[in-house]
Amino acid sequence: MQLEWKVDGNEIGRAREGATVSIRVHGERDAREPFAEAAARRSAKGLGFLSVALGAAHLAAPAALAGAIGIRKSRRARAALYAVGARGIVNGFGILARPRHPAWVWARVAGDVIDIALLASTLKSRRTDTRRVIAAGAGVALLTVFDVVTAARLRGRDVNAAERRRLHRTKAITVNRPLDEVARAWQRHEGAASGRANGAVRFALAPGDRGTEVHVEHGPAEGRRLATRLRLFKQIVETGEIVRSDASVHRGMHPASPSIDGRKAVFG
Amino acid sequence: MKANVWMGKKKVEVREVPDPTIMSTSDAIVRVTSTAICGSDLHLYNGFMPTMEKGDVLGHEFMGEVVEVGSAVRNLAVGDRVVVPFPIACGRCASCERGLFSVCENSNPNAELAEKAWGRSPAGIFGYSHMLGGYAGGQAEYARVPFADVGPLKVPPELRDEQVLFLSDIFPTGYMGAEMCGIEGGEVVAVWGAGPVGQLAIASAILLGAERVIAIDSLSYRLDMARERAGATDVIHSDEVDVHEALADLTGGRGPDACIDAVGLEGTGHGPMVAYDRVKQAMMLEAGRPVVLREAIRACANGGTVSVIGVYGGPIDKFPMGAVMNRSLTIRAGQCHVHRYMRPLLERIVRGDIDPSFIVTHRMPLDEAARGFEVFAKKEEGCEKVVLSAA
Repeated sequence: MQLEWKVDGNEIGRAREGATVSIRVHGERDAREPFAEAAARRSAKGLGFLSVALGAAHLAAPAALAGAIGIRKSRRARAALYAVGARGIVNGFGILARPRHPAWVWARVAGDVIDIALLASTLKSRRTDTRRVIAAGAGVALLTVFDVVTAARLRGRDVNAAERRRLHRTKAITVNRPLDEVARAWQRHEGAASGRANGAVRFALAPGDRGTEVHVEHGPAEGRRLATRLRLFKQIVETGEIVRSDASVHRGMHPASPSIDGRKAVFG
Repeated sequence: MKANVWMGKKKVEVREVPDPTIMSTSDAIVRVTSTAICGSDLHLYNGFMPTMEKGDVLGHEFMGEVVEVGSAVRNLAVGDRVVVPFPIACGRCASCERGLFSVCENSNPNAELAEKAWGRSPAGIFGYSHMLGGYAGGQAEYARVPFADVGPLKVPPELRDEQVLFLSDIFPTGYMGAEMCGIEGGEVVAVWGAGPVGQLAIASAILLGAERVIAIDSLSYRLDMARERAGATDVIHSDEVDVHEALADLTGGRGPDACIDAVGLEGTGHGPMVAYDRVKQAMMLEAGRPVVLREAIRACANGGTVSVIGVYGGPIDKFPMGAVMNRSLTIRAGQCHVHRYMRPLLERIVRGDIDPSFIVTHRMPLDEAARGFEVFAKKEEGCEKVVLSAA
């Protein structure tokens, strides 16, 4: 069962055995990238790599390619293959640079249409291997279908990116105390300090009597600070104090040696 | 006060540093009477443990007299004679409650460093690098002991320092190494390394009922001590015979039922693999020379246990996982959860079952700590264990 308690309204009640208790400090939103968008982005990237690879093949071995797709090896054919290859490389890098944007994938669709037209134009020549050209055309057509489907699924902009950067990560620590004691302590130490507990906080009973899990969401570049804060919170709740060593009392690295009058020990 | 501080690779110096003060209400200050140099201190001395700083006070095996207690301390009073366990443990976290004191969840203020290296952080340790807390150690005239209600053990006045000092680390460590072998009676146990921990692991295996205990080392004087004092039934000189073959001979081809690695990351031996490890370690590409661990795994009987109490610091190469998996071996390891062994082992000492002071070969004042490290590191003068007296 899921209970929701307010922190700022002082409505911390008693935790029920086996209950998972959520405390919302701020509104919680699911900021994950939708699965379909992520999938479309991944297939766009795949098409980008494919485009670059095929383009490179056009430039590297035009003669072999001409043979493979069944067209005559003329100067004009070679020029056309170079042009198609160069276009493919540019188009591929365009997609890879901005894989969320459909424009570059639609450009691939336009290129596919041109390629099919070029292949069709060779069918007039008697020196064309008709079966190979038709097979090549079918291959391009199949790719065109992939391109159209991918382009249609791309949403352009990552609508949740900012939100996700703000909220998508959590840090957690397990405190060896009952849930209501931990929730109360959190309110006392963290909830009270305004501006410190920005993210949503969730408390859950750890399985098998292992204490209480504290899950806190955090924004970008706040993970390390939050991890330290959670560690100190656990120390305070479990031992009643912040644990300090000789080498952790001052800022920066300094020897693990007793210090005098709060000064760092220094050794040359 | 005077303290033995780390000043770089193979360099320690006794220097004047400020006296420790109570930093928390649960602290105690101990006037150190005896402190020892541990084999694991040599890993720091030889520069194999990262996150050391010039000026770090060394030492994690110490005992002495309580001279000051914080206001929250209940179990100790000024004047008590105590032995201090080397891992620092809060006594309140889930790990401490389960008796896993060396993985206390609260005692390492630099847990972040340890998490980077090992994924999660173990407990803080006195005088043993910054990633393990950055606590000043006990090779000094005074030491601050955090969580004083949890760790220090009061010892009876009729026992000499040397008889109880090793409750701080190596006796419990050796005992836990033997305990992890799951001895039920009748086993053959092989112990690699006849240093202080190895000697006490041998003695503990006998106490726990092993039928035969085989000591393996490359130093004859240590093998003599293992046979004459610790109770080893057989010894293997690793420079003179092939250890694997010798163990097969001694066990009718089965291999030892349990193998204890009491050597750790600075193992030595022969063959191309050892050269490989030395080169990689020198190039900082490998965090240790797991010569002994590989040998122990290969030698262990099918279905047997390999118990690792030698210290390792990071990733190692060519780990024979195939042998472990296909031959149903069990690997157990850990820094010793000293707190849970101190009282029962003190009772053993009081009863006269064992006197761990048999390992002491060198006694000197704290001032001569640098010489103590050198003699111990170079295995000169038949050195087995160095005890420094600070009072």
